[in-house]
Amino acid sequence: MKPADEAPLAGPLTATDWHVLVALVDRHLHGYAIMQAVERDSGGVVTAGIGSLYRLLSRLMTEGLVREVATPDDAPTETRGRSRRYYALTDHGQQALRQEALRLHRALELARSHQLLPDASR
Amino acid sequence: MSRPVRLLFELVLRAFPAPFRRSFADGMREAFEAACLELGNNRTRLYPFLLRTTVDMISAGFRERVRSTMRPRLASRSGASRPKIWFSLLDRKLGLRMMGKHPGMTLVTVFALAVGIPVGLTPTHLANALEAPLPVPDGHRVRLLRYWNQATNRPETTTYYDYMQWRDGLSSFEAVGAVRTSLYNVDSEDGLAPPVAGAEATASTFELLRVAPSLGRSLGTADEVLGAPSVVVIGYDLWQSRVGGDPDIIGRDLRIGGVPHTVVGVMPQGFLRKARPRSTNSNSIFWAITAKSRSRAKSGRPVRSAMTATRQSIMDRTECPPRRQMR
Repeated sequence: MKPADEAPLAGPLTATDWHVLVALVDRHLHGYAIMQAVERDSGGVVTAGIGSLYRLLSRLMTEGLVREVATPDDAPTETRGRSRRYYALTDHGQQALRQEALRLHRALELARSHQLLPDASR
Repeated sequence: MSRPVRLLFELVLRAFPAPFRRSFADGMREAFEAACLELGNNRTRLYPFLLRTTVDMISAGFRERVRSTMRPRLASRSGASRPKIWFSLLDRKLGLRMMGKHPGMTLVTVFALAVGIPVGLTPTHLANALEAPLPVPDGHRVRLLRYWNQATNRPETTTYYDYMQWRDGLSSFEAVGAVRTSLYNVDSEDGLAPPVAGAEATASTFELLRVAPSLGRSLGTADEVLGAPSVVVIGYDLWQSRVGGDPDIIGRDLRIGGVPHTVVGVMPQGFLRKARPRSTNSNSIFWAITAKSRSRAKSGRPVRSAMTATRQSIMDRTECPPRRQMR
């Protein structure tokens, strides 16, 4: 059986997957911060409830795209007696994000070629 | 975070299978508490959030249970990649089976939905009920004006002086009327004086409600003059129950609180019956309006804009203390 990090990449990511993974680029976040980042980055279009978010994190961890990490040094370690769990992207997650960004880029170019969007160079 | 809210969350957390809870329950609690802390006491945002979270937790928990049950089965089958429709149908079939197999979980789910949905919807229904327009022509333009104490979160008494200030000073509204509701003893022919719901109202109240009496006349400005005879406009139900719908009631006296009042008009059947629960009392005298003072926005002017202008105007004129704001 292949380790999770070497698992083949899946097809296109869902909007929630995309925003969760983007939120974790170059930073380690806890669950509530991810929820806020997803809503903020998507302009409120994509929202993840607590249950859905943690279920999604569970799946992304199983697929090897996200991993749990130690609490960052600059983060408050205790919140009313409970320590927060922080999540980060794996290399495999970075790769999946790049692939998805490339796919979106191609989709954008296709839309431009059909005059669905203005040309970026103008 | 209040105890009932915490209990509700712990309840819906049970929707997730135990292994999942062991891994993520702390994080989910932490996220829920952080969100509640951020929303604070803002109930209009907190209750919808609780409803969304309850539904989301139950839905996600149930899907997680199905997934965790399906995983070993799918692994044991050859060609795990199946058409999506197959999985979708199986998903539902298995979901129904799980409901029977885990009656406790089903009970928790149903209970959480039964509690969570009403808890979430109550503020919305309450707001709709309070915002419901009066059942009069252009009722949506009739607005309630009153002072609201922000410290106690309760309405404050509006005085006749306030009414005069508003009547003379407001430019955003066509008419302002004042109403004081109470229970009154109205003498009946059998010598008893059972209390009935009624109101003392300014003549302008009739102007803004725009409903003509079915018999006689409504109150006029001459009735407001000091020393003018005591007059009363009675409701249809009182007219029927006390005098049997006698058409000659106009001009006759009715003793209210031991004081004779001349009946000058009878309002039509059903007038403001739904405006307030107490007005459904068959003995209501005029009608009952919850408002201490009601006003009608000028035609063509958005009501919200009129209310905002009014709020500013009132604050400018009456030098409201900071905690006493217009609503």
